Amino acid sequence: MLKLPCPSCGAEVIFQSSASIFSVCNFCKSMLVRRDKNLEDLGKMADLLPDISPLQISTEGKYQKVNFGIVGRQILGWENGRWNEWYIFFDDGRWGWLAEAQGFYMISFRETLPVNFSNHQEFPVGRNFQFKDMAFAVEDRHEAWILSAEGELPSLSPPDKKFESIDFKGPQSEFACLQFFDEGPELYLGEYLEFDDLHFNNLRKLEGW
Amino acid sequence: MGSETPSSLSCMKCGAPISLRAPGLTLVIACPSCGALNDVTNPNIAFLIKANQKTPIKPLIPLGRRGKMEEILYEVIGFMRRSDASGIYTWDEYLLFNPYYGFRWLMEYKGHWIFYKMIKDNIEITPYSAIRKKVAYKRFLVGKAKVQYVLGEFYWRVQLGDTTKVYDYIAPPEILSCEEDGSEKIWSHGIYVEPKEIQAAFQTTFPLPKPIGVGACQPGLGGKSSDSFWLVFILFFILLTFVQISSSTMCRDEEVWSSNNLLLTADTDKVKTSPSFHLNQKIADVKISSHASLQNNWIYLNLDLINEDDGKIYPMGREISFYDGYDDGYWSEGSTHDEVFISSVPEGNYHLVISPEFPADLSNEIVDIKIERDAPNWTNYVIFSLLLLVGPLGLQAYKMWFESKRWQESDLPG
Repeated sequence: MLKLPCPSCGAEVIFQSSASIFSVCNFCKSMLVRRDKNLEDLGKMADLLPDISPLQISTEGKYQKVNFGIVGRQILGWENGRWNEWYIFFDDGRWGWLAEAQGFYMISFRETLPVNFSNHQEFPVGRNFQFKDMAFAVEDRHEAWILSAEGELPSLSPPDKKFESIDFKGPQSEFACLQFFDEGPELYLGEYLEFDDLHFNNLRKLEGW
Repeated sequence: MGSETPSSLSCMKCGAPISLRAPGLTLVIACPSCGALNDVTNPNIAFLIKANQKTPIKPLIPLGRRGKMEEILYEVIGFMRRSDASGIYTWDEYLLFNPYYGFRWLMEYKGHWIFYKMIKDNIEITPYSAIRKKVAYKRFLVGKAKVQYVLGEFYWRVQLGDTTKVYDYIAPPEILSCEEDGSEKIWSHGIYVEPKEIQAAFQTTFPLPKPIGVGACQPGLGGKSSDSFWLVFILFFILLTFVQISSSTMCRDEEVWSSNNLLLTADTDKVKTSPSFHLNQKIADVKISSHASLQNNWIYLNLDLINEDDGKIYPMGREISFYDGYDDGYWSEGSTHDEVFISSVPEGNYHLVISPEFPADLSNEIVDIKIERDAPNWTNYVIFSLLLLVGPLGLQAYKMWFESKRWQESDLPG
């Protein structure tokens, strides 16, 4: 656990995961990036948009018998709406993303990019690919952008900057996502899960629910 | 316009305040006051999608009503009436929402209800089926779905007139439906729900419409009921057979008298009387068999069994007729043999009076008549066995009728 002062307001900024490079200051909403022992201020993050998500930072869950906690969040937008990507940190030191979209939950982990994945022109919808001995089909491609964020994050695309996101569907409940940023493409591999499969606790209190 | 946040907004058309039940997820909401469809994500653009229809529709389950389906509480947040391409056949869809579990749909068509959940699994398609988790669903319908009317809020930008292609596959009581919108395919898994369950779950004030015909995935009686009907039949049949065999073997079957070539002579209708005979056993049946080797002729025997002790008469009229010939193959009608049973005849002294009737061209015909005491009777056994079969066969017929009604709604030929 690392604690550093916010360069804008002085408040304590906590990093629970060593993979977290970015953070949004809880108090002044400044976007901060770690540079050696200091934090650099990149500007103000847009306000979070109200929603009825049952998850929040500090919600805990369990996946594949290992406990995890939510430490950060990105709200992503696309042409047809928006969804949440919760940054989760596991007890065994791993980190991953918990996507929450229209009542669907997906957990994914960053994968090293195979050599041939560099050009997003090569992924038309319907094309099949092999990753890790599984056949994946390109299901959907769309542009996405960060609307808002909070907590600590492993990466942070500049707000409102569009990036290409390609979704792949695996043989069972697996899925993969390839995203193209200025710094290079990132590949995530994961699966769809039911709410009950994740054994959540410390959920956000929802009025009327 | 007012300040709009995604949990509440002002209607673009009439300015009425609108609050969202699913903020962050809803993209479009119909104004509860004027019906105009508002795009929630573009508050700065006067984005007014086609206004709603003039004639309001009252959904069977009102917006905002909550109900439990499969142990989870949902709130009705949207209502949509869709039709096929022609616009003639319509059905209603209720969008249900739970913030933890997401969206579900309740579809109502002709009084039949289906509870749907969107799924992400891979589905194998063959020309006439869809396979999911090793279960094959039969292709039932391929058609179009066009939005006719909307109320409430939706998680996509719905517009009146939106048309998608729909594929339905059934494995009653389950159904798989695919909705195709351009290149996007959304699969949902549905399960048939009885109207009374919907009524109980959502406390609908007025009775729900009675289902018409058979629903696409409405469960029939199922294999289990068929098995139990056959099981009951087999058990009763075994019991019946056992009773029959044991009572038959216990029958003494004594031959009491035989006519010994009774000759029918030209002295018309001459009455013949048997000698007296004694019927043993306190009470038992009497079997009278008659035989005549007729060829295209008939004999009518008036038989009276008379109790000499108390004068009681058991009258019988038996016909023996046999006709046959060749007419594009052999045919025959009637029998050269006849049997009659009289039950519960008490012990005593009896004789049989025989008054034959026959056509003029029949004379010098021999008739054999035999009387047996306590003979096994198989006729009733056969009748009861056939009656027992009514159960399982009736069920089979019902199932065939039921399935034919189900497939009437399908678009598959035949």
